[in-house]
Amino acid sequence: MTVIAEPELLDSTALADPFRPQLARIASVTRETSDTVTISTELPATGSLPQFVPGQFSMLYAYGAGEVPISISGDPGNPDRLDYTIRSVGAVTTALITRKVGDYVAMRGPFGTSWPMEAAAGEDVLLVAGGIGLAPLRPVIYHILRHRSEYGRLVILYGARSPKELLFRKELSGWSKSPDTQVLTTVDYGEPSWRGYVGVVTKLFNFVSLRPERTITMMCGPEIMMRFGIRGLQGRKFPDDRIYLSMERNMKCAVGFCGHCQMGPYFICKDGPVFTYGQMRHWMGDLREL
Amino acid sequence: MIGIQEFIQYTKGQSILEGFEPQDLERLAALAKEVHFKRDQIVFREGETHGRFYLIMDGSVVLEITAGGHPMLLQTLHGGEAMGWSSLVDSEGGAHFQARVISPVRALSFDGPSLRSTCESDPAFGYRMMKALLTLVTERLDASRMQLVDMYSNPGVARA
Repeated sequence: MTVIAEPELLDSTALADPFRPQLARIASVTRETSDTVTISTELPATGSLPQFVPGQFSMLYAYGAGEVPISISGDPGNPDRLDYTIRSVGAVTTALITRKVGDYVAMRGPFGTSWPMEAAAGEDVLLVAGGIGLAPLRPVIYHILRHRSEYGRLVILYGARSPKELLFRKELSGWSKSPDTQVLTTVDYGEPSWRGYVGVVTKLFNFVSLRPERTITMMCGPEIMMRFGIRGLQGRKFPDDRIYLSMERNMKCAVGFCGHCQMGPYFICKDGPVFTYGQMRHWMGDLREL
Repeated sequence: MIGIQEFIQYTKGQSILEGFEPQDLERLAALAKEVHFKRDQIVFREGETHGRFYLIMDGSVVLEITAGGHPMLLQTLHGGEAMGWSSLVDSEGGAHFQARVISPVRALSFDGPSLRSTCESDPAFGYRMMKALLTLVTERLDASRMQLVDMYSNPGVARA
């Protein structure tokens, strides 16, 4: 029986100076949807990009606007680039997505815990993503496809609001052709030309066959979606400690000093963002503002 | 009407029928008719009083509604799911949505009023039928609430 580890903790405070940003140049910009772009960053010739593991995030600073935490969405096997998929939700993210190739952003990190790639080795992997939540899971997909023989079956369930808002559409199609990989997408509202599933992402559980005791689940998306997802998995006898979640709270310092992202006994930035459901069980759905 | 063995084989694994007694399945088999629909065929139209309840065995159907002159796809239904449940509770009211086939469908079709009449004449069967129906409606309501929340809209949080 595989021993399930806590999400792998990387001590962010051990970074040389976690408050000191580095300048990163935008090497490419890819428009994903009407409000979401992926920027690919590189460091000027003298610098080397920090290594990251799937699940981690950086603090990105847009000059004149401010700083926000953004999950890394690129390939952990490509050390030359750090990719960020950013949805415009406010002043800072809007400033970031309007940056052009050759512009600079400031970057701190990477910070936080990783998805359980070691614990998932030899197991089937179920990824459940909603909306922008596919971005923090994309490094997991890259990693598994790069090390395909080390993992069992890969199932990717992805829900979005409408077909126009699906991220990484070409890649989704490519991933579905990978060996022993199943990709199902659903939208809340379909358009007449849409031939896929329509309905909530949790309904897709009905269309996959997985062994709960041999499957590691990684889930990222709106908290409401994750709560319903957990309920659906529990109904199918998936053990709580094999369900991993990426949590979201308003982060500022990213190293557990400021307390903005506290959730129960945890700082999402430092103890997370990846947690087991067992860790989060008592805190999800808590309506109190912390 | 289809034979009981055939009915059991057709409906094997259909969660909506979990909890039914063998005699319940016999009653249902006596009322069931196997039907087939081709791609793009309309099973029932919005507002139509079709009076049928369907258990889908294979294939896919989309429930859609016209809004602003354009069809809007609200939900897809697949093997193991049911549609037309309102015919069991209201034989006069029309369908709330249009059901259109997106991949060829094989289904069991039941006459809504006959099924309701059977429920009324045998309250124990009727209770199990309504319990199954309530489970189905609860699932649909949960899904509709999640869609209504519009959870993928602008989350308004920083890490996005």
